[in-house]
Amino acid sequence: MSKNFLSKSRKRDSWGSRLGIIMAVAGSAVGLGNFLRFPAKAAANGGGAFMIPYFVSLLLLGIPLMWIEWTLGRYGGGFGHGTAPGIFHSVWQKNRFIKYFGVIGIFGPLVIFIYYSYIASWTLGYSIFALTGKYAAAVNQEAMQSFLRGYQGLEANQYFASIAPAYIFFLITFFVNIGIIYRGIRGGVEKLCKIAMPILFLCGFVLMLRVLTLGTPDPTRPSWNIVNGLGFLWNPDLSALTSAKVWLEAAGQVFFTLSVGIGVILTYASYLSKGDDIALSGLSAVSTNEFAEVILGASIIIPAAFVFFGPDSVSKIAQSGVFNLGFVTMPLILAKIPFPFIFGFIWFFLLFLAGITSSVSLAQPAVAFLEDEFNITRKKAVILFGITVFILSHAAIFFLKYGVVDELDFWGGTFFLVLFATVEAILFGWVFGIDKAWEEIHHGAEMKVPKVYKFVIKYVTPLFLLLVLGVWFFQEWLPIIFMQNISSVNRPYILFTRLGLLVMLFVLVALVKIAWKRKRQEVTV
Amino acid sequence: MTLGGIILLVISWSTILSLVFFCFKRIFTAKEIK
Repeated sequence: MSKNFLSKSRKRDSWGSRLGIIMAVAGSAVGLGNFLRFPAKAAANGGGAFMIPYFVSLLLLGIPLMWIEWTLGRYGGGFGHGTAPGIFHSVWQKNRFIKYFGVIGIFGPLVIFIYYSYIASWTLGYSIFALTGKYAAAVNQEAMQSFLRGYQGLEANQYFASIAPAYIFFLITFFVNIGIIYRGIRGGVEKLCKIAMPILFLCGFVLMLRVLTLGTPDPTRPSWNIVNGLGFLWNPDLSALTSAKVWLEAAGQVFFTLSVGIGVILTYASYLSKGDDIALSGLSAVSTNEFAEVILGASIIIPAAFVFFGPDSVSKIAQSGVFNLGFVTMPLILAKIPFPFIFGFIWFFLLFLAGITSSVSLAQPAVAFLEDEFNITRKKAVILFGITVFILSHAAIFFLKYGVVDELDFWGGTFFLVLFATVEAILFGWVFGIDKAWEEIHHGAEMKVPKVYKFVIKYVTPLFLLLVLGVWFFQEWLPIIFMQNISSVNRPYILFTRLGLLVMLFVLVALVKIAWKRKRQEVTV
Repeated sequence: MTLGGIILLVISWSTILSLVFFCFKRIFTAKEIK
C-alpha cells in the first residue's frame, strides 16, 4: 500500500459545475482590494506606467502560481487530502517534515478569517446605513471619519453610543458565513458564488457607468472632469519604471489580489476529479479577477474622487489607506450625485458580496482539514470551526484600536502568505519535478499552456518570489517584527496577539502529528 | 488625459477583455486537448 494511505474511503464533497469552481475561486480573489487597493496603488506608483510591471508580474508570478495551486490541489485531492499538510506530503512522501510546513496553508486563512468576517460586516452595516440615510449628516472627511470611529467603537459620539450596532452586523455576517459553509461545497459555497458574483459584477457596472457619465459636475472648475479623472490614474509617469519600489508594489498587488499563497485554492481544487480541466479554469479565474480589478476597480473611486475633490486632494486621498477610501471618501463622493442612498447601497453591497465570497473561502482549509485528516463529518467540522473562530474574532472586534487587526493581517495575510507561496513554487517545480508537473497540468486540460511556462514555473517564478521575499523581509518586515513603530500602549496587545498566534500554530502542528499518527496506526492494524 | 494615458488604458482594457473572451468562449465550446 502506498504511504499515502492515509485517507479512508469517505466520499468527499465535489463541485457541481465548472462555472461553479471558477466563480468560487474568482469570488475568493475578488475582494475589497480590487476596488480600493489597486486604484490607490496605481495612482501612487506611476499611473498608467504601473500597468507595465503589473502585467509583467501577472505573467511571471500570478498566472503561474494560480496554475501551481490548482494542480497541487487536484493532485492532493486524488489522495483524499484537501489541505496543504496532506497535499505537500503527497508530493514529497520521503520528507517527514514537509507536512508540518503545510500547516501554514491552514493557519493563514484561519487568521485572516478572524478579522475578515468582521470587516465584511462593516460593509453590510454601511449598506443599510446608506439606505436609511444614517451617515447623510456627515458631510465632510472629519465627520465621516468620526462616524467610522463611532461605528468601530473607537469613540462614543453623536453617531454611535457604543459598538453594539457593529457587533450585531458582525453576528449576522458571521452566522451567514457559517450557514453557507455548513451547507458544503456544492450546496453552499458554489450556490453562493454563482448568485453573488453576477450581482457583484452588475453592481460594479452600474457604479462604473455612473462615474464615467459624471462629465464636469462643477462648471466653475472645467478641468475637474471625468476624462482628466481617468487621466489621473492612467497618464504614465515613465520615470516610475526605474524605481524598484514600483516593481515591488506591482508584484505585491498581483500576488495579493489573486488569493494565491493562502491555501484556499489548494482546497477548492482538491474537490475536482482527476479528469477535470485546471489549465483553462485557472486562467478563467485570473481573467475574472483582473476584469473586476483593472476595468471596474480602476474606473470608480479615483476618477470620481478627482471629479469632486480635484487633483491636489485626490493624491492625499489615494494615500489615505483602504478603509479611509472605502468608508470615508466614497460615501462623500456618492453624496454629491443624485440618488446617493441607492448608489451608496450599491457600493457597500458590492463590497459586502466581495467580502463574503472571500470569507467563506477562508474557512474551507480548516474545515477540510478536520474532515479529511480526522474523518469527521462536515457539519461537526463546521461547528468546531465556528466556535473557535467566534471566540477568536472578539480580539479583532474589541482590540481594534490597539492594532490587533493590523498585526493579524501582517502574519496571516502577508508574511506567511509570501513564504508559503515561495515554498510551494519550489516544491512544485523542483521536488514534484517540472516534467511531472507539466503532465499533471495538462491532464484533462482544455487549453495548452504555452511551453515557455515550463521555464517560467521552474526558474522565474521561484526566483521572483525569493527576490520579493528577501527585499520585503529586510526593507519592510524587520521593523514590523521588531515592533519599531508600535506605541508603548499597544505593545502588550501586540505581544499577546503574537503569543496567541504562536499557540495556534503549535496546536495545528500538534493536530497534524496526531492525525498522521492515528492513520499510521490504522494502516498497521 | 494624455495620449500615453489613452494608449495604456486601451491596451490594458483590451488585453483583459481578450483574456476574458478567450477563456469563457473556450469553456463553453472547447474539447479536451490530448
